[in-house]
Amino acid sequence: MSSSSRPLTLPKSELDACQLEQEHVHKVYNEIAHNFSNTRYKPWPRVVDFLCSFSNGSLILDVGCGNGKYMNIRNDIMMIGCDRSEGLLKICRDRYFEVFLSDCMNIPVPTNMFDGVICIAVLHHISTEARRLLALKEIVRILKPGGQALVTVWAKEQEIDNKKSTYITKNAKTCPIHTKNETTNELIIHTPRTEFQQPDCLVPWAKPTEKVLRYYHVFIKNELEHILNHISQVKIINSYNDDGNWCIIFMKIA
Amino acid sequence: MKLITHNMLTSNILKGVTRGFPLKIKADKMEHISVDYNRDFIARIIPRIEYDALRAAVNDLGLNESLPEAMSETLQQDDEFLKTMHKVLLEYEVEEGELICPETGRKFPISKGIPNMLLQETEVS
Repeated sequence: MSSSSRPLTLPKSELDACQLEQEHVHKVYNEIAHNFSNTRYKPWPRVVDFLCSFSNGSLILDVGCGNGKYMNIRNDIMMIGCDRSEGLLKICRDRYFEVFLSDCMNIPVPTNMFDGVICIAVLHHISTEARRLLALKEIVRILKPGGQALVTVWAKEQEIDNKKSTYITKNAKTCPIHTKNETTNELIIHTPRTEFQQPDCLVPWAKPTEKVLRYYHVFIKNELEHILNHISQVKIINSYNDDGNWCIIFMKIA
Repeated sequence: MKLITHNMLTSNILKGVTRGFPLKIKADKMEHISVDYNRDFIARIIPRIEYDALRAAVNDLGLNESLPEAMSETLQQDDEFLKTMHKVLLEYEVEEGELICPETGRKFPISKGIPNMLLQETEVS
């Protein structure tokens, strides 16, 4: 789907990063919105547990809400969602969810507003560490003191303590050896259902007919903690691996 | 877009804008959709609402709903008031229209009930 024929590389500037995300994240999700939504209907139990920890009447923002699969877990909290993909938000509207179109680095809500934030499988689509830090800072800004956020990202390690994730066990493929040209920082195309060879890669979406590439930065262990260490007012409550995803719960402190 | 969502949106992400709240609303198409009334929920939500901004929104939209000028603790226990707040916050939907930054006049279109709050690179604060 890329109009350029030369290989894609890691972004060297803010403009590069925006273009890579525009072409290989935002455009892709708009194109695959319906097929994506049909395969993403099952809420992750530990995200549900997190949402269930809030009291009645809490205000929760789902940053990168996608098709809204966490928007109606409870009917006694106020869930609002935002996403960068208009295609996915239209699916949310068909389900009567409250959403707005925005970038996760500039969320148009007041500071100290929300009791809770979830940001599920979003940050791994942001292509520089500086931008990933901006997105986390924005989540901290909009939480009220005492409020908590759950952030999950795809893990580079798909096998933890000898236990393989569902991703590499279901329809498993043999792992090809990719060689990366270090001088060009070329983005490799990841072979689905295999271990990640590089932290930054393009993952094909091939169902049922489209052949499109989504950009991913898969996170290594403690990478989320490392970025959060750059932000004051953050207290980490819990961090864990959930079937091939790094997850972190943190609180905003006054 | 329900008015509860409008009550939480600002244009503070625009360069040079300090508060950006409340956003003015211009509606070209509105709907009224019934939502189950939950007294406990609405009573807990009300303290989180910027009441003056909600009254401004009701005024912008020309809704025939009477919201008292000032909120009080007695009012927050008043069933009639809670029901009006339920209706105003949760049942009116702006389907088509725009939100307008009170400081710069920048317009954010609302299409199919979705406010578009994306900025151009040059607008980011």
